[in-house]
Order: sequence, then C-alpha cells, then structure tokens
Amino acid sequence: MSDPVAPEVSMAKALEAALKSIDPAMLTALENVSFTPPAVTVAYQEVIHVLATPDNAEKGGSTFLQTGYMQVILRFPGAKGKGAAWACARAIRSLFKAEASFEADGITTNIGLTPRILPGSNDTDGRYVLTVRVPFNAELPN
Amino acid sequence: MAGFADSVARGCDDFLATARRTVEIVVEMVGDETIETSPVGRPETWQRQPPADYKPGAFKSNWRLTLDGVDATFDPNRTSSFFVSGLDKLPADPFGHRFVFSNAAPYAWRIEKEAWAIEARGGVIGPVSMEFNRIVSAAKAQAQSQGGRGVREL
Repeated sequence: MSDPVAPEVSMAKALEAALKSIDPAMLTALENVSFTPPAVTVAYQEVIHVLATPDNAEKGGSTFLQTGYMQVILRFPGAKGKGAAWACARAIRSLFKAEASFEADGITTNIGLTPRILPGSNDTDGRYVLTVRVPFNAELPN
Repeated sequence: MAGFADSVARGCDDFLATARRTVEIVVEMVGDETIETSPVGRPETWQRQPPADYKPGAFKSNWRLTLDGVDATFDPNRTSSFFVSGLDKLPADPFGHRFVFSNAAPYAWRIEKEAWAIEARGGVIGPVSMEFNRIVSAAKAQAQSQGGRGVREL
C-alpha cells in the first residue's frame, strides 16, 4: 500500500510537472531525489520549494492558505554568454504567468505574481547561475 | 470646545505612538526572523573542503541593521552573536527612515540564490520576506495592546 500523498507534495508535483514540460527539456534535480550533476558543459536546473507560514483567513475553516515559492536554480555552462540561461528563465516566467493555475491530485496551485529572476552570477564550478522564484498559493485542506 | 480639541489631539498622539511602536516591533521581529532562518555552516557535512578562513556561525552572526544606508562590515571572527547589530540604536522617531538589514559575508549571495546552505536551501531573505505581512499584523496587535508605549515606558 502506498503512502497517502500530502497536499503540499501535490502542490510541488503540479509545478514540477509544468516546469518539466518546457521545451527543450532540461536535466532536473528535485528535492531528495538522487542526482549527479552533469559535466560543466551541460545545463541543468535545481528545484526547491519554500513554504511560508500558512494563513488562516477563516478560523475553524476546512482549509488554510499556503503561500510559498518554487526556486528554480538554472546552471548553465560558464563563459558562453547569458542568452541561453535567460531564454530559459523567460520560458519559466511565461509558463508560470500571474493567474495561471496547475493541478495535481485534486489540488489547484495558483501563481499569484510574475516570477522573479535574481541577478546572474557564476558558481564555484564556473557555471552561470540564474535563480528564478515562482510565487504560488493554494488552499489546502486541514 | 477645548475638550473636543484636546480629545482629537490625544487621539492623534495615541495613533502616532502606536504607529511608532509598530515600526519598532516590525524591525525587531524581522531581525529575529532573519537570524532564526540563517544557517550555521557544518563543514564536516560538505563534499568540498571549506576555505581555510571559514568559521561556522559567521554568517548568522553578521546581520547588521542600518538606517538609510548599508553596513558592509563583515567580521569573520564574530561567530556566536546571534542577534542583529544595530537593533539597540533604533531612533525614538522611526518615521521617514529606511531600515536596512544587510549581511556582508562573502558567500551570503550564494546562500541566498545558489542553495549553498543545507538548512536554508531556499535562501534567507526570500523566506523572511514572505513573513512580512504576518509580522506587520502581529506587530500592530502587540503595539495596540501596549497602547503604543515602548517597553521602557511600561
């Protein structure tokens, strides 16, 4: 018998599935899933979900409002310009546009604001790193 | 009509006192939340060797609060001071100022956007900023319950 799926996981599942639908596909490192980073000449992305303190707009209600952001860390080959990384960041921004919504396991996750792209930099391996934060919210059952 | 004017003036004073106290509490709570969210490095768990001058706790101990500017000071030897420097220098009248929390650790940016810290993979500023509305609501309630008076006046 499989474990019941937590609605928080369904939220992440919906967003990750959408992220993986972006063409061209990219190697993706997910939380607590084995992943070996490829050679520095190959691009990949790393996904982390950050949850805020839930909001209980209605005391005693059957749901609560969960906000948070999905952080997508794009790691592209260094010294190759920023065009490819920014094209990818732009694709994420367009997919997760404000008011878009994504569903998994009956849980609807909404995008409240246009994703934020943090300034680019190079990591210690020389890769060009661009971090995109996708803000989301969902009404989750208690 | 002096009574009415006095009562309006008193109402304004109370409102401003509560607003001032709310700002003070917001700044203190944001500082507390920032420290709580900040990681302490555990080089023994790292795949790579830390830099020779790395000291665990330096990032968490180097948050600074500045008024209307940025403090770019980083003290690598400050490793167990888990409070924001400058919180004790909050002005009596906080209106019209920008309160800037900064951390000049050379690897602070990597913690924020490159998932460098196992305990704070989503960064520190990002998660704390999501708590801002809750912090403001809590600070306002606390300030109102104190009648706008600061701790020193209670």
